[in-house]
Amino acid sequence: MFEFLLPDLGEGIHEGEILRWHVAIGDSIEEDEPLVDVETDKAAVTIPSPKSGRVTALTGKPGEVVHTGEVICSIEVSGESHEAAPETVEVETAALVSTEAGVGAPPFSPQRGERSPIPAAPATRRIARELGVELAAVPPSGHARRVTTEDVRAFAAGGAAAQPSRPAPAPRQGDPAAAGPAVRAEPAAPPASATPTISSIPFLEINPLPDYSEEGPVERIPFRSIRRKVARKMVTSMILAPHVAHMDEADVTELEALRLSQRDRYQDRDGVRLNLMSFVMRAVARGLQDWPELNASLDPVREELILKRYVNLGFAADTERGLVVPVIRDAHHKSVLALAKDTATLAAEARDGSIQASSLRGGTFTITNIGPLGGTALVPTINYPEVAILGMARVSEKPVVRDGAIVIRKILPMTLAFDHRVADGAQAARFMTTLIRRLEDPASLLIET
Amino acid sequence: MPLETIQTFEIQRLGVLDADGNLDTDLEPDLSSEQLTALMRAMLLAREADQRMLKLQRQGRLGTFPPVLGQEATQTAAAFAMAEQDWLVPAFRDLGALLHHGYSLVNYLQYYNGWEEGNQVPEGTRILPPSVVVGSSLLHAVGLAWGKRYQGEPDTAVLTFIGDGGTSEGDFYEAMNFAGVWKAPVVFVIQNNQWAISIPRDAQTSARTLAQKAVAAGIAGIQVDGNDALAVYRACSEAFARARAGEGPTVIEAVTYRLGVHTTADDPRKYRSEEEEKQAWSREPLLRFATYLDEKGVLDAEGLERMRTEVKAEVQAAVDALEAMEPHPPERPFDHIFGTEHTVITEQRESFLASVRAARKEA
Amino acid sequence: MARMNMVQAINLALHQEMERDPSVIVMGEDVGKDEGVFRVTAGLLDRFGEGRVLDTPLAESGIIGTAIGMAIAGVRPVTEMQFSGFSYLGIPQLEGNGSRYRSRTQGQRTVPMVIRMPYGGGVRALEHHSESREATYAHMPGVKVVIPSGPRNARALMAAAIRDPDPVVFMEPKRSYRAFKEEVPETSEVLPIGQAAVVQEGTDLTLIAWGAMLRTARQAVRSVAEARGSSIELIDLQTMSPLDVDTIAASVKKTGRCVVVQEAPRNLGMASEIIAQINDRVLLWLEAPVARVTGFDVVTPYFARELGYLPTPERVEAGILETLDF
Repeated sequence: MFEFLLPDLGEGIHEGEILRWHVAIGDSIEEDEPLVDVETDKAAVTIPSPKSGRVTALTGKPGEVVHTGEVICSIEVSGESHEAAPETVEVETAALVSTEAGVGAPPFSPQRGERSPIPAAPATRRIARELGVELAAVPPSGHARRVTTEDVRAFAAGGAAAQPSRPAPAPRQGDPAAAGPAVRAEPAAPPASATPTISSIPFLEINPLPDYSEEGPVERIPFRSIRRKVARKMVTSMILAPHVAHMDEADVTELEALRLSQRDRYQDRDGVRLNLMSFVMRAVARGLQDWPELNASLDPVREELILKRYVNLGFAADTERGLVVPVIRDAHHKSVLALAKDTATLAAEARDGSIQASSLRGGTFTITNIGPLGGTALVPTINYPEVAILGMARVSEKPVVRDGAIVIRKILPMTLAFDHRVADGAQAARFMTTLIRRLEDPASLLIET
Repeated sequence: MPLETIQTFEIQRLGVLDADGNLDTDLEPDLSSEQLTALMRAMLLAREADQRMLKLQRQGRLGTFPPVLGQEATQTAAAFAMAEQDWLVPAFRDLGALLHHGYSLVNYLQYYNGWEEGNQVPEGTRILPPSVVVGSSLLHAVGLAWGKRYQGEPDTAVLTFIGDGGTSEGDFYEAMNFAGVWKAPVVFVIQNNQWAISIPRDAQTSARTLAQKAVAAGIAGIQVDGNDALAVYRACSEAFARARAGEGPTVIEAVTYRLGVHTTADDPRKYRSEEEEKQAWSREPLLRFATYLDEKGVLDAEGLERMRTEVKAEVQAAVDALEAMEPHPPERPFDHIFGTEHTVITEQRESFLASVRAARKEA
Repeated sequence: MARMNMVQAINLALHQEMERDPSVIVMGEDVGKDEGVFRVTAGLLDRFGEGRVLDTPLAESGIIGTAIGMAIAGVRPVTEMQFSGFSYLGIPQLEGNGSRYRSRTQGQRTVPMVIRMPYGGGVRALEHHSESREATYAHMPGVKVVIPSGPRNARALMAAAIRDPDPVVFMEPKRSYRAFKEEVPETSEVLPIGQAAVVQEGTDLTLIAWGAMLRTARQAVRSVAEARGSSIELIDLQTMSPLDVDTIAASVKKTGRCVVVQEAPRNLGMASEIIAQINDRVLLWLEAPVARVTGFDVVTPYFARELGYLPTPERVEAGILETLDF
């Protein structure tokens, strides 16, 4: 029985989508006759049969993705008896399958439909748990596709794959009395695709830093805690998500008038300070229900977009220790007043350090308001693994044209940065336009949200 | 050479007061009225307690237990011959002996309600717990006797019981053998009640008597009428005297009859006739002893009834005490597994208590 | 200090304990006049007399049963089972009574006694004279099981066993009786029961062994250290039950790798329990599965085939390397 593994389709391509089979199970096929059409990122390719014989198995329905090295077809070769042991043509496939990582090679993907646990030593699992790393997302460098501790640490630090740290073991001589666990006896699997190493990104060159003290006095401050965490998050977000910034302005003159007229009443009655951001939050929460692709996360492993049917709004808060993002849960169910209250409470907790870890997790969308500190516009960084973020700059009085006349209005500049893998300019624009309309016309905020 | 007989043996049978009331005054033990009354009371207590327990068991207020019905003289009169410093190592059908030597009925009831606490005797009480593994405690009796003598108690002897079934166990032979070699001050009383659950005495061994098994171990053996309190008392007294004099152990086969069931989980109708039981009742111990006391002017019928009432009240008090008890702490087995502390036990104790608490919350 | 072998060391402990505590007596088949078939009880009859050194009838159940009675009486009997293969006749008494009197009476009656027995293979002995059945005894609640590995700890553990308030099964690896000598202090030394010993510290892997397997383990450790420079932590288990889980856990947490060497048959041996305890306590520090190098689940062969059956330094070494390389 001949098992045909999907070959490397050229230029480091590691997978393809089955377009159509030229044979069915039970059909006879001659060597070099068309077997299957497969589409890659570049083009559609017809693969000819490497053997003559009878087709006994096909893997992959049209539309399904198959990977280099996977068995896609079994052929009972003419002249062979039924009882012949399956022949794995390792020499052939070894030549076809590229062992070098190519540009654009996708990160580690598990077998189709496989739901089994990821092999990793218990110690590795503990480290992964501590670092908040999903084992399934970590490219394995251990033999037999095992995720090592080094792999986990490398992944947590920012994505570069670790070099295999242990040589493959010598042939097992072990204790003859031992009937070891199945994991140990597993034969070497087809080589897994590796992530690109830094050195494989064109023109990327990270040199050692020069000695700055040569130029003048310097002070070295340890890069720790929140600062370091923020650095990691920013690099991750910028590398993984292609950012597009959609900028626009909202005329909040009427909204501000409304807000200021009500401010004292709610201050006295509830001790809550109505701020502009609470109104924006309300409008955003509603908007996200209408544009759920901006309230989502992308699962790169399963290649699925996870739409969240709830809105947990994070807002950037500057504290002594650094930037934190407290999260208001179920913002889509909360009134402007409730949003203002939660904002005040969480901001206070963030400042005095008493905020719970649970209040810093679970966000689906983030708002960052630099306005109180100043700034005409900003391009915020998406709070990965979210897919969009709204930045608010300083409200200021500006001259604008209304009905042919110049008037002075209060203008709020906003920027929606979004992940272009997931959303396009059109969606972003529509979202923002609706948001702005509701902010400019407070009655619609009341009626529509 | 002609065959020479190098050894013969002889087993004697002792009876003093038979079922028909005939008394051998030569052999009659010299017991005072107080002592005789006390002996009667002790046997009556065993009888009444036993009967009450049977009812409790049928009502679900007590677990499975082995009644002593019919064997009151065998065990109580034997214990009556003990000195204060002697030890009692029971089998499991010895209530009469236990109660006489300082064991409390409340403890007995606790034991049969599944509490180890029932085995805790008052300080200074020289009794070991019942032995469920048939025959195993005989060896303990021998070791105990040797040990007490070694510890400087030359006058301490040990009374231990076994049934006819138990005499087939290897440990019985080993116990007699060791006792003989060491001249241990042990009195072995075989309560031959004719039945080992459903196995009759004759199917238990080809030996004509059980007492003669002592011959194989080179120790003294005698058979007595087990339903004759006076004979049992006499034989045991003599055996204790021999033991204290350093002459070694004695095996006393007390022939009696198990008038009741093996345990409350048993149905004798499956293996013996009602007729046989009725026959055996005519030889039962309490009736003949009561008659003897009456004729001797020690205790008349009214006195007996008063005694019976008193005894019944005592039994009831024990039952009341049992049923008023709070359940004992569940974690006690962890406290008494080793005499030293160890992580594995301590952890398990904590884990056990946690699950007990969780179950209580759910309840 | 004096250099002595294990027989002499145990003998020393017996002499000193009997001297120290008059309630200690020795009993068994051929222990008195004949001084024990391995001479472990040499000199005791002469010194302490037949009141304290009893040559008993040939009856294992009788020996254990009467010893139980003695212990209840306040005596501390040190019994001998001539070979572990005959000790099973005493199991009904040990399991049914020796292990139970304390809990049966909630601590009112206790059984401080020692059951000594030579065990284990490697001496070209007859059938039934080579088995390693410590797991059978360790599985009984209420029984302590102790196995020395050399003269010094044999002496110290015997003293501990005699002083212990519970029944202690003291299994003496006969292969090690006269195989080597160690310095043993003159003055009495006692090691706690329930405690394992870290005989050699290391960082790469924890190797656990007991009895005669200690020497086998040491050889493997040396070999691996030479070949690879590995740093192996060697633990002498010493007590099978109650198991020193704290020492084992601390070591495996440090090294992340573990191999257990067991002469006994594989199935349900002490290694199984050790691995289960490691699983319970320090699983998340394991870099590799815990390996067992054990005997086989066949009847112990007659001595012509015995050396192939027992774990060898080579087999232990292979187990270590496999675990290091996992």
